[in-house]
Amino acid sequence: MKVTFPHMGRMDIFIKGMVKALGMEIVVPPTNSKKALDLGVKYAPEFVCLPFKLMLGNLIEAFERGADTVIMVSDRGPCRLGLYGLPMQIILKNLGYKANWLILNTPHALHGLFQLGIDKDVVKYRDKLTFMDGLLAFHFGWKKMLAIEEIERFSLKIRPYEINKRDTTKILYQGMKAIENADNLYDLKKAKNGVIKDLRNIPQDRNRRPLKIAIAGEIFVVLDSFANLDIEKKLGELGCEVDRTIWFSTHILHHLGLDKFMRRSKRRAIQAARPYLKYPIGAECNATVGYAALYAKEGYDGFVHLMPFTCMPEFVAGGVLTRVSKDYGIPVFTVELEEHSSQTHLMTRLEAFVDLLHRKRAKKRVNS
Amino acid sequence: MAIKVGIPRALLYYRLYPLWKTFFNSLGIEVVVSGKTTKKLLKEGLKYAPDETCLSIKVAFGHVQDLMDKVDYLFLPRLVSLERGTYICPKFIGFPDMIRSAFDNLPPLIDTSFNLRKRPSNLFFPMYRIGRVFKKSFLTIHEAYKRALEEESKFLSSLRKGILLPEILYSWEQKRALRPSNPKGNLCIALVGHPYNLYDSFINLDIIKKLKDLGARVITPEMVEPLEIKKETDKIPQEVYWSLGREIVGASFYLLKSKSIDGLIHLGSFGCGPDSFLRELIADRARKHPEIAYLSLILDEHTGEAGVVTRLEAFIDLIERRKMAGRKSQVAGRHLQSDKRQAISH
Repeated sequence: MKVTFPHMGRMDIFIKGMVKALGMEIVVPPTNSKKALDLGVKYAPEFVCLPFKLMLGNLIEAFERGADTVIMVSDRGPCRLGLYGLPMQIILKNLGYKANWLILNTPHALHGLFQLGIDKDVVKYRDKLTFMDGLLAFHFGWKKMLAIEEIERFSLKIRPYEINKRDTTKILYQGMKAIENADNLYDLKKAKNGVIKDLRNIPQDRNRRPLKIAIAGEIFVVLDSFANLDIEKKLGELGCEVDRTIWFSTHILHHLGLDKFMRRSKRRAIQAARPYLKYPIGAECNATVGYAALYAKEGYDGFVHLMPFTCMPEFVAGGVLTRVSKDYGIPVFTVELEEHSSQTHLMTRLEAFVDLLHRKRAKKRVNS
Repeated sequence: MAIKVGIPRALLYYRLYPLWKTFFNSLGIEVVVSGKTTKKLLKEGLKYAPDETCLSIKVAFGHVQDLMDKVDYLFLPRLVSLERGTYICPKFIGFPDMIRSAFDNLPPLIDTSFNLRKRPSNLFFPMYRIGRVFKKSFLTIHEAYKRALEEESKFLSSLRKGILLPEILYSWEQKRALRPSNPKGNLCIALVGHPYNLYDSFINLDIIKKLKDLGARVITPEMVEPLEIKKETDKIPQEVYWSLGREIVGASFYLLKSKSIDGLIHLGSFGCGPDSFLRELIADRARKHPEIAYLSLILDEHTGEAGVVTRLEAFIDLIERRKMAGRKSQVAGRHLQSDKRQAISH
């Protein structure tokens, strides 16, 4: 059994870390690239959302590398994600790939892992493994994920101050590789601390007053730097301090109900969206609206809303955000991502947006 | 003067109008329906609607705009789910909120949630809450609710008899006898899609009339027995959790299997989330039934009438020629499918 899975942001690091500790065999599809997207666009239905196209591309590439079992998340929500498995199975079958599908019929992380644990194909592996092995593997993967997120978060804080452009990004990529290659917890910690030290030592101009911008939206495109055309880095290099609202770890913690005491948790965002959305719509819709209100209250200058083209829940959020933007006076910039989105197009729009924010801030300073 | 409640002629108006109208009228409230969709109305809607949405929502924005100044209350129920374990569409859930964000000076909205996802029997509670908005007593509301359900079931039962929904709605509204206009010919076309695309004659460029003029009897998903739909959808490995989507898939699978139709047309609107998947499922099943011709049409606000007519005529021609040849063609049906995969050999 060679298991594969579609990418979502840096989730592969979590899974790779876990599997490494278990000694199972997996096929990790190559990271999202133009090739995966092209494959996805070629075979996917016409106006399905961008994540579907990328995931389909991932799976095709993984099958070409010899995978035969797919782990796919599912859901009962109103969003299309829950039914991804159905058309994907049809498309891949028509392409001639024979695969075994493990569809985790739940958005709940623990339940999903449990389902995997009792699956008849996985049970063969399980004989050799004890419960403790599983727990340790999970812990190792989780720590790796947290390390990656920590350095990413830190790089977002450093990037607007860097004097030589792309310094931060270079060190970040090196650091990610180092963390990916770490074999045990000790190496992991060493690698992480090394990267953070390197990031601190980047030549910086601390006199700058960067704009503060929050990024929210549909989880896949927020997490995946290929899908969102590296918008964080682009904004950072334009001199903005970016805060990303969704991380892989916070997403899992939210579903486990463990984010009660976190400051910017999804739970709080959903509460903040109450006046605008009177009903939980599902996916990140309510959270997106709530985050806009929360960050506006915190004094952020701008809000970037990412969504794939034809995304249903985020579209509702987009409609409601116009009102939030009016009420709180926070400019909202909605980016719809699809296979035709181009780097330069986005860059031009971002430059205009950042200009607008600068002007707005200057006006505020004059008035006060 | 009686209170006026406005119902937009969009989205699930085509399914639930008898229920709503009877309910409000029994409470002594006047119901105002927005005019038929026109080019002007759609244009007005586009001014307010976010541009990335599907055509159906854009049209609904237009209808709300049309009603806004004429009524005391705007009835935009939050339709979460009307069946156990299903949703309708996320856009339906957020629709009242979107309207509230997009328009200023709205009349008070009645946005009671209809959520039968967990308990299928509690349709009365949302109805009761609607009645309480007008300060009616429990008994009055219950009476109205019972009468509304009666009308609804009468409406549904006449749907199953193979009469087209707009005709039933018309005869129901005008209190006139039904005059079914479906031709009795032996050419039978199934037209599947969301009801607000199938029955809005402006959005779909009057496709039903065009088909009838070409001599075809039209069958829509509502005419298929719910039990048959359930049987078909139970065979799908994963649950299709959009109730309209489930109906479309189940009905088209059943019709394809029963071989009682000569052609199947799937009507989708541009930007519709569920449609993008349903098309894939239906096209795949249609490929297994090469004797039934399959056509997929996508509607948007720019759809040219001539293009649709040409495609429909070609479609009907194909079916007729195939019938004349008197043999079940294995090949011809495939030409019509917009099928990318078959061209690629792996």
